[in-house]
Amino acid sequence: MDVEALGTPHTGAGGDPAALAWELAHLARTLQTSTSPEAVLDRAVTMAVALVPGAQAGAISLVRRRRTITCAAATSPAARHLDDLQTELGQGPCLDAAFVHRSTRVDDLAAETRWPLLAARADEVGMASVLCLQLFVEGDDLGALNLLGTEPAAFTDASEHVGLLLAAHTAVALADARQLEHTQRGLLHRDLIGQAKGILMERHKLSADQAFAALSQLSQDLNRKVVDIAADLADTGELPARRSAARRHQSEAPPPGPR
Amino acid sequence: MTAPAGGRAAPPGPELLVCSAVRGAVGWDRVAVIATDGLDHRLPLTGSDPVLAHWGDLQQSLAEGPGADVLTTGAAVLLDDLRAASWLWPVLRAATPEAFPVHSLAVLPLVGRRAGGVVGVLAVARDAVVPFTEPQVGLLTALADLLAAVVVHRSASGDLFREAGDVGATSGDEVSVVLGMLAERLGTRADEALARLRAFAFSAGSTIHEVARTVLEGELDLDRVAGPRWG
Repeated sequence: MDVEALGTPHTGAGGDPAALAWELAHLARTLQTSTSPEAVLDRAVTMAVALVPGAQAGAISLVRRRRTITCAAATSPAARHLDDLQTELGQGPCLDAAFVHRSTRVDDLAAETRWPLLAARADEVGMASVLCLQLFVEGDDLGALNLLGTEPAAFTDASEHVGLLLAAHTAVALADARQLEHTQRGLLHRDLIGQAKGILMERHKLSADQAFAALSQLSQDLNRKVVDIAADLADTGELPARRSAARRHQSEAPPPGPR
Repeated sequence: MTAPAGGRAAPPGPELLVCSAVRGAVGWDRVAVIATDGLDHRLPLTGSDPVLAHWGDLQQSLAEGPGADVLTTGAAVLLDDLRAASWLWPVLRAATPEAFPVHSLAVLPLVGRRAGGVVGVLAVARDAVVPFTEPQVGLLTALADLLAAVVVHRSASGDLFREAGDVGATSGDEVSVVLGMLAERLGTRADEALARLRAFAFSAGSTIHEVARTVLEGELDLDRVAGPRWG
């Protein structure tokens, strides 16, 4: 989601250590009272842009299998577009350096030699500087806080230090929120699978075991999670494969004639 | 309302084993731990006392009771004598059998420590009027904190819900299965089906869980639960 509407903290930390300490403490408390991962991410990226010297936009990016970058929160379209470009081009700081380094600084994206394809399209982003801060790494998945600045070399050592502090707070809060969400999601998923079993039992006169076996088989055939198929069925009343078949049937059918 | 048939003989899970370790210091006759994020999604954990778990089912059916209050407010409910306080929940009182053995009761929320959300409830009960003392409530609060951590950890690892993914017929999901069947038969969504199931259970003096089990055992026609259809 775009989080510009959330607003920014009332004061920038600038170079004042006391103000920065106050803001970081405030951030920690705010993040701990955010009970969903989305709320944690929205708040964290907004405050990062306000607190890190040189930052004018930011995003939190989630990388799956070192290939696909999803923008989980962003303060501007430019930050979001950087994620899209990295996914499209298959290169960029989020796809390699951020897996290894806690902090990756790019002084001029257009002149960057590590990711030439990205450099060639830097003008689309409209931001010269990038500071990429690692939040977590889980195998081939990664979470990163990306900050952008308009001018070349917008980020200094001080930016990096403040950014790393923010990233640490965000990573802890995000881990807590994700754990809490596991419980809530687990309960919901359990009920969704139960409902889907019930629909199939009633529709096709199956036993509970047979209904679950049918869901599992479909999960394998479509390479989708059982719970996603169950959620589709509970929501629309249709199994995903049947929807596709219905669409094919519709597209092959002749247009309806005059009545 | 009928008594729970035969109890639940499943061995205690980690949460109930933790409770066992504290039982001597606090003293109770019954204990139940429920993983839940509200009234609609609820999972009694294995080893919970069947009488308390069944009473929890009744509260979920009626959307009323101390457990429901704990989930709504996030605060503990402590009752020296349930019978003296049952006016607080008149519908639940009317549906609770005379032989219900519980007198003193403590129901505490399980709160995810840092993120602050409720992930379950702990209920401990005594069959005589022996109120929980302040030090005992302190211990129960610490126990609830510990249980919350265990529930959150086991949720994250997938252990807590593994049954839902691995087991077909015997995962204790009878209510959601019957909601799916009802929704299919009525051509409605699950929330409408839940309203019908609740109404039938209330009129039958039963719980939605008992009604669901009876339907799945083939002893109750789903059409009777579905009720009249309009339009």
